[in-house]
Amino acid sequence: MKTEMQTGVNAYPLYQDFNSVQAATIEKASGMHEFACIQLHKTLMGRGDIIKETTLEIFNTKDHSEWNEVPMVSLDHQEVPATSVDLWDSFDRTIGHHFNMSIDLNACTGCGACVIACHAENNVPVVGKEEVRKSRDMHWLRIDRYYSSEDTFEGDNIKKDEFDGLTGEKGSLSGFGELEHPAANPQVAFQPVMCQHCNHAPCETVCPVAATSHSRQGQNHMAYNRCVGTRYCANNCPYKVRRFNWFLYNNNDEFDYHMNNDLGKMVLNPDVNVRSRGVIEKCSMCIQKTQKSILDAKKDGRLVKDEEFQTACSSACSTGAIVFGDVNDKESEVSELVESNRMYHLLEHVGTKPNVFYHVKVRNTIEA
Amino acid sequence: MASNKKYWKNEAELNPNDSIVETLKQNEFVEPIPVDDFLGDKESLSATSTNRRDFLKYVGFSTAAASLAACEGPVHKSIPYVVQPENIIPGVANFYATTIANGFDFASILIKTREGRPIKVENNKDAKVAGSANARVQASVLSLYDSTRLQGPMANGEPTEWSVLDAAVKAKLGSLKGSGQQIALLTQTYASPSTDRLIGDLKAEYSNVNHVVYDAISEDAAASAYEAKYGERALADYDFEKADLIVSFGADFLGDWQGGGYDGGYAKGRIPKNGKMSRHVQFEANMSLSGANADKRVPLTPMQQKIALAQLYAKLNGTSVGGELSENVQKTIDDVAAEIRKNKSGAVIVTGLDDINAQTVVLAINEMLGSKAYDAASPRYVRQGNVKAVQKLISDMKAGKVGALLVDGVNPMYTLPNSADFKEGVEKVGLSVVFSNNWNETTEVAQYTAAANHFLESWGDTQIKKGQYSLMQPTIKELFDTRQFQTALLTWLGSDKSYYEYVKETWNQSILAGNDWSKALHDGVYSAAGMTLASSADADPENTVSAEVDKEAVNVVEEVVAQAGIPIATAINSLVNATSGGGVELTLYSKTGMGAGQQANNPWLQEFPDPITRVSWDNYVTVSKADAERLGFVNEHVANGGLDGSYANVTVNGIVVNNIPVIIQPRSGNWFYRSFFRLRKKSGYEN
Repeated sequence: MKTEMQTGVNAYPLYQDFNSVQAATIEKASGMHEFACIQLHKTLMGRGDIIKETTLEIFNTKDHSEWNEVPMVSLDHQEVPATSVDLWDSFDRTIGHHFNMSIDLNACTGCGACVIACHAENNVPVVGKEEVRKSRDMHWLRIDRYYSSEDTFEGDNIKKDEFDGLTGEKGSLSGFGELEHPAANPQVAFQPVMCQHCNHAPCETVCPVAATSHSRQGQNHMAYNRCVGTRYCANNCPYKVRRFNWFLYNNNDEFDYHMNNDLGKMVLNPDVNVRSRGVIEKCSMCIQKTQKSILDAKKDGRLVKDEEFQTACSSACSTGAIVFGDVNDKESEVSELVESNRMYHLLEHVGTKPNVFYHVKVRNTIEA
Repeated sequence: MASNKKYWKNEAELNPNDSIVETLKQNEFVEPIPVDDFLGDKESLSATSTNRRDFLKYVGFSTAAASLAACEGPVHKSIPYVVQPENIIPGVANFYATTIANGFDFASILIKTREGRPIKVENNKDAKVAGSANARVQASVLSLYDSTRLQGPMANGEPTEWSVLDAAVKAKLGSLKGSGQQIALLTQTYASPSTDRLIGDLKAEYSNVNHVVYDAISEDAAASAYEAKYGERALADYDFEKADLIVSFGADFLGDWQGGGYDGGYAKGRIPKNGKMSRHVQFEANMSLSGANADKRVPLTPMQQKIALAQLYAKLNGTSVGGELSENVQKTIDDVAAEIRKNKSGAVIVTGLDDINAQTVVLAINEMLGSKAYDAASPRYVRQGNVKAVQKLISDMKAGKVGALLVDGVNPMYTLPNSADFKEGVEKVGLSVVFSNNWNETTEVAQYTAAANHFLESWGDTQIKKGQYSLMQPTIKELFDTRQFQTALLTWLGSDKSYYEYVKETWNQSILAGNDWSKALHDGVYSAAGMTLASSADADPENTVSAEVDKEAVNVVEEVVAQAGIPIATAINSLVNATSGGGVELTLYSKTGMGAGQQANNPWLQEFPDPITRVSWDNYVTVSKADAERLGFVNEHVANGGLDGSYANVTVNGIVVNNIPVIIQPRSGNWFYRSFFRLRKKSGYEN
C-alpha cells in the first residue's frame, strides 16, 4: 500500500467471534488526532429554507403555500414573493434545450454513489488528507448532512421564530449558540449540492476575464484556459460549489495518487480535460454527455429521447432522487417534476434562478 | 560609470571551467545551423537573385530552427492501430455488461470503455436485482489501475513463473490424493454456479477437499437462521417498495446490511404518491444511513434492541414477556404493534443483530404477518460464510490436518480477529497459495502468491438471488501476468478448457434452458422463468449438485453440522434475557466508503467523505456527547480550520486497540454504547 493510503486503525481484532456487538472498555489516550472533515458545521440553525420539510399529514391536508413557502422580499416597501423580483432581464429560453435537474430529498438516502460517479466521469483530482483538512477538497458534488438541534427541524424553526431580543431567556445571542449543537437524537437530512447553474449567476457577473459564462441550454460554463484564478466567482457563489486548483494535481509527486502514474491515468475520461494549477473548476452538468446525446440524435436525424439526457450523478442514482432532463421537452420527466408543488430552489430569496431544484422532504409521522 | 556587477544567465556559468560556458560564449546556437550551405558560396549567391524578401525567409528559417533546437516538447507515447480492432471507433465509447462479485459487493453493472480502457461504471437497468452500483462499485474501476497491484506470481516473496507455481501445486495435490490430510479452499462468497460446479469437479477428483467460505464481515446469524427454517444457507430477501411500514432493529439496510442494494426499492416507497408513502421506524445504536432516513429513530443499545424485538413479537402474538425498557420505548413498541396490526401484510421487520435468536424471531414475525415485502422463496446468496467452518479450519491447520491451503478473495491475516492462530496454522500447512490483487498481510505468510485478476479482467457468473443470474466478462485483457482463481483450478485439474468455455458450458447445460448465450452475455443478466422455491430444484440442477457437494464437505469437517431450528419460545426467552456483558456495548460497522476494506488502496474511496460523519481519510470511534464529556474526549476546531479529536484505547476481552481517533456524534443521551468502525489498514507494506 502507498504511504498516503495507510490511514486509519484496524478494528478487526475487536471483531471477536464474528460478532459486531462487543462488551468493551474505553479510555482516553493522550494526544490529538488531525481529522480531514469536510463539513464542520453540523446543524441547520433554523434556516428552514435550505432544507424544506413537512409531515405527510400537513402535506396531504394543507395547501402547498403553507408547507412550501415562497420567500418574501421587500419591494417599494411591499412584501412580495422573491421570485417576482429581478435585477436582470431574462433571455428567451424556449428554443432549443434547457437543462434542469431535480433532486428529491425524500428519495435521497445519502449513499454517495453520485459523488464517486462524478469523480470518475469528470477527472476530479484527489488532493489528499492534508489538503482536505485545509478545506481544499475538489468534490464537484457534495452531500450536505444536517442535524436538528431540537428533536425535529420544525422545532428549530419554532425556536428561531420565537427569539425575542438579544439577551434573556429567548434572546437570540444565546439562542443561536444553542442552535449550533445537534440534539442527542436529532433528525437528519441529506442534501446533494452541486453547481446550481443559475440563470442569473452571481459568479458570472464578477469574473473579470469572462471565464465563466452562461449557455443557451442553461449550463454555466467554465473556460479553464481563460481563468486567471482570481476566485471572485467562488467568493460570490452563494452555494459554495466552486473549487480552486491550489496545485497541479497530476504528474506531481506531492500528490502521489492515481494521476501521478501512467497506470492510474488510464482511468481518465478523455472527454473531460484535466485541470491545471490556478484555475477554478466546478460541475459542468456533464456537458460532454449532453452534447454527445444531442450529436447522436442529430446524426440519426431525430429528436433526443428524454432518457438520453443524463449526467454522471443522475445515471448513478439508484434511488431516482436525481433526475436530469430538458424542461423544454414537455414530455420529459423533469418538466413534470418542475411543476410539482414540492419543488423549490435553494436560497430562492437570493434570486439566482437556479436550474437545479429540490423537492420538499416529507416525513411520515402518522403513528398508529 | 563602471559597474562590477556580473549577471549570470544560468547556474552553469558559475563554473568558469565548464565547457558549456565557453561553447555558449562562442556560439549562440549549440547545434550548427546550415546557413553556410546556402550563404557560403559567394558565386552562386551573387548569381542568384536573393532579394530582401528571400533574405528574410532565410533569417526566419534560422530563427525557427534555433528555437526548435532549444526546446524539447513533452513526449507522448502512442500506439497506432495498424489494424483497427473491430467495434472500436476512436472517440466513441463501448459499453459492456458485467458483474462485480468481490465477496462484499455484488452488482450487475455496465462498464464504459474508451479505446479499450474501462473508465466508468454504470448501472445495469436490465437487472431485476442488484443492478445498481454503490460508491465502492463505482470506484472499483480505479482499483483496476492500482499501481501497487501484483504483476506476477511470487514464491516466498520472490517473483516466479506460473509454470513453477503450477508444478508445485500439481505435485502437492497429487501427493495428497487419498491421504488423510485436507486440501482446504478458503475463499470469499462467490455465489457463482460455475465456481460451485468447478469446486465440485475438484471434490470429485480429490475426495479430501474442504471448501470453507469466509466473509470478512459475517452474516452468519442471518444465514444460519434462514438455513434452520428453510433448509438452505442463504439470506431472506426483502422488497421494501412493497412495504407500507418498515421496522428495523439495528439493520442498516440502506448501507451494507446483507449485501446492500435495497435503497432503490426503499426510495420508491418513500416518494409521496396519492397522499401515501411508507413509514420507517428504526431502532438502532450507532447512527446509520437507515437511521438518518427513518421517520422515527429510537436509539437503543443492542441489548435493548433484543428485548424490544421480543416484546414486539409478544405484542403481535397476544402474549407478554418480561424485559425492562424505558417508558418511551415501551410506548413506541406499543404504537408500532398497533400500526402493524392495522396493516399486517404491509409491514416488514428486519434486524441486523448478529444473533441467531433475533434473526429467527424476525423471520417468524414476517411469516406470521404474511409480509408482502418479505421474500423467503427466492433468497439472496451473497453471504455464505460459515463462522464455525472457518474456526474449524484454523484449528485443523494448527493440528496439522491440512496438507494444502488455497486462499482466494480474502485476507484472513488482516480481517480475522484471531489472525495469530491463522499464522500458526499456515506454518504447519504443506502448501499455501494465496490469490490476491495486492501484496498484503496474508500473502506475507503464504509460500506462493498467485497474482489475481481484477474482476474487470475476469470471466465469471453469479446467482445473486435465486433465479437471477448475471455474467462477468472481461472488459480489458489482463494488464499484468495475472490469473484468476478459477483458471488456475482448471489448470491444476488438468483441463484444457478456459474458464470462459467452462462458464458457457455451465450456462448452456443448466441455466439458460435453451435460451441464447450471446444474448445473456450481452444483457449481463438472465432471469430464470417462473422461479419459485419448489420448482427451483428442477429448473436448476446445478443447485442440487452443489448442495450435495456441500454435504460432503460437512462430512470432512464433521463438527460443522447444520444448526437445528430454534424453537421460537427459546429464541424469545434468550432475547428477553439478553445482557450487555458488562462494560460498554461496542457496535462495529462498516464504513460506506470502505466496506470490508478490499479497496483500501483506492484514493477515490479514501477521499470520499462518510455520509454521516463527513470525515474523509480516516476511521474512528464515534462517541455520544454525554459519553465524551464523561470520559474527557474532545473535538475541537483549530486555527487552520481543521478538526482535531482525542484518541481512545478500546479493550475487548483483553485485546486492546490503541489510539483510535474519537468523533463526537449525536445519538442519544444513553451512556452504554458507542461504536467504532472496522476497517482500514495501517500496514507496513509499501510498493
